[in-house]
Amino acid sequence: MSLTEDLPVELDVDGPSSPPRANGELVFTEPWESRVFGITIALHQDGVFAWDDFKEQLIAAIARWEAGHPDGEGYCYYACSASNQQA
Amino acid sequence: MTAEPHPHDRPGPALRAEALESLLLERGLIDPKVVEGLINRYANDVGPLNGAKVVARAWTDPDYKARLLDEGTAAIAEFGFSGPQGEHIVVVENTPDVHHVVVCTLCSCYPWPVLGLPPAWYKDPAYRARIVREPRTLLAEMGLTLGDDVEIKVWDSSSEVRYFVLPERPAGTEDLSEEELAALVTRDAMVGVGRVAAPVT
Repeated sequence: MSLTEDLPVELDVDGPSSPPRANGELVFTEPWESRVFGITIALHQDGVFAWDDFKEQLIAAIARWEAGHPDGEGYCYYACSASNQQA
Repeated sequence: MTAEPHPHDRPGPALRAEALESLLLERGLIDPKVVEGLINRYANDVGPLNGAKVVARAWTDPDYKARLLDEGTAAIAEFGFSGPQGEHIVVVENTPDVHHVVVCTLCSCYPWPVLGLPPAWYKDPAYRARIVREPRTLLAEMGLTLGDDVEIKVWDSSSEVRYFVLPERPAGTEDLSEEELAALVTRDAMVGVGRVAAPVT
């Protein structure tokens, strides 16, 4: 029903798998963050993995990371999870 | 995000991202152009939520709309949206007869609390000059074709006053909730270089 419906993935707005945002818009603080994000969506679009499977891995990776580090690093998780999906 | 070294024994995320991308490229699993296109779409099409919420409220609550058009800053502050570059926001309403579009001819004044940071084209000297000189032509080039019977009003934002466009509510959205309506509103529509499209059902 929304304008973003034709995007390959409807991103979570809240919750652990929501990417960093400001006023609703995605925030990439360094170029690698947007690359990793784009690669992840592209792989999903090509059917390499289902988004829900990726999301599960992503949430698990964040939980593992946060267990050891109080300050998270948003798009690191995308990199880790996308690599795991590949493996 | 910090630039500090990664706390464990692996290379930093930028290097790992690069390695991952090279590997995927080598195996032919990704096309850099596709990746670039996806990044752009998500960066541009996932719009500012604050402004969209204000618009959706105005579409569904006539009293709110009256307050918004009367005293923009105060009505926007009802949501808790305020701050730098939002001190004096004037809201102009698009109708079938009058189309409003916003520019900052001097620099890039923009209502941050509702729209976030301005897109690159908003700061472009070509946009700033041409939207004043030939708005109809430029809007058409940007994908918004307006009939000759539609009057175009161009508003020049400044450090004193920042303009915000209340777009027309698209037809066929009578049954949508405020939240569903907010999801339709784009940044371009709130600057006046686009329209809110009716939902695809």
